Amino acid sequence: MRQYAKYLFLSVLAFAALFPLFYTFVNSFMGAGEFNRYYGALSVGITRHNPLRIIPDWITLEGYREVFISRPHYLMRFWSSMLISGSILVGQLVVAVLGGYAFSRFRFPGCNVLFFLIVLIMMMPLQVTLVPNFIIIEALNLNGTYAALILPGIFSAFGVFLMRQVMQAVPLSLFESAKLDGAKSFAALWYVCLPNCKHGLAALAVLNFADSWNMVEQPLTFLHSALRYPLSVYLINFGSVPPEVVFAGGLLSVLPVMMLFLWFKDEIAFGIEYSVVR
Amino acid sequence: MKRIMKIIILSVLAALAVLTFVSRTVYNRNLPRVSIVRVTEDFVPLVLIVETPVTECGECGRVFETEWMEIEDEGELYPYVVPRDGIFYLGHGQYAVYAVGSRRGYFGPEDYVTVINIDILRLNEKSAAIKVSNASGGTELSGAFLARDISGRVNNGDTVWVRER
Repeated sequence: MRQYAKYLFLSVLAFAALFPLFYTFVNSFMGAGEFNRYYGALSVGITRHNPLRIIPDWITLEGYREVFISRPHYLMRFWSSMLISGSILVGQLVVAVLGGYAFSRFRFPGCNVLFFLIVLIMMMPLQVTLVPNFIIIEALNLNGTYAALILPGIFSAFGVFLMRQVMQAVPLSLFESAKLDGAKSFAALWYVCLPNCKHGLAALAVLNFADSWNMVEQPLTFLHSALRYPLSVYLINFGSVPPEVVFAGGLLSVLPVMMLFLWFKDEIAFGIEYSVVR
Repeated sequence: MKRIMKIIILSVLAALAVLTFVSRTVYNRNLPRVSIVRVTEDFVPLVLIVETPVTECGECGRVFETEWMEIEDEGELYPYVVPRDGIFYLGHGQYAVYAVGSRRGYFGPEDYVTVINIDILRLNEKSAAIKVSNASGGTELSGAFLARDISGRVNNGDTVWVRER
């Protein structure tokens, strides 16, 4: 009986998590006419009497044609998102690895205080740091540029914290034997530490990419031009973007994060297994 | 498995890059050209009066509630379009250029104004330049300040500088 209750509970959770994706998928095959007929009232603020449409009356690829062929708007913003997220990912991997290594392997004056500050910053919600970031970006004259999004994203506290925790789990004996072989700090990091931290790097990459791919507040704050908005902001403009583009584009926007997850799934699975066994 | 994933990911990205290029090229080719009928210094910094009425921004898709107004210049009436919500957008190349104000972050003195007909990405509010694409070969400009810069005549490819009166 307990087993059935457990399965039922998990099924409900899985349904709640997957239904929005399924709904987006089926609605992406609706045409503009059908959207206006069934969801047109939403655009004027009438939210009653709007049944969910699970099965389209007529299956059409109008949305996908609009996304890929008719207008380049979606694809241009896709590449903007890739530029922003990719730059943040690469930058943060470098900063997080070096910062995490320093905090895990070296004792220097103030390291505990610094790490405490990093944890403190990590726990702050984004909205708290948005205004100070804005002031700094304005002072650097980067407002309105992609650098205003990329730089704060690169120097994020979470990556340093995560890598520090992952690197601390690497046995000290490995570093000692590397030292005996004549390896300096950077060689120990590159040849000893990083190969043992692949799962941590994979988790950081996936989480970081997903976070920056989906960011909305920062582009709305730092970017002034609608032309520069990434995909996450473009798709929420339900009024100005055709609904068939929103649904088709929204579904397609899941793909990069999904592909990255599939790329790193072995490392992530290993990391989960490893932490459970330990 | 990783090799297959690598091939899939790279293929998808390559396909998207090709689609982006093709889509942009086809879209830009079909954009109507902006014909600058008249430029006047009545509105700071610049007003461009265009032949084609504008109701939708070609790039962001935003629909403007516009109104037709007529301004008199040297005894003749010209129509122009002003967005009612007060937000001034440059003509990204689709139809026309709107009246542009001197709001901070959009335009100010010493900015140069361009309407770029083809490139839909290189435009931002702080700097844009008028690229005259009048097929007939040139448009006379009114206003002394413009005459100072370009001898009173603008030809295709010229850049017009915005100056305060």
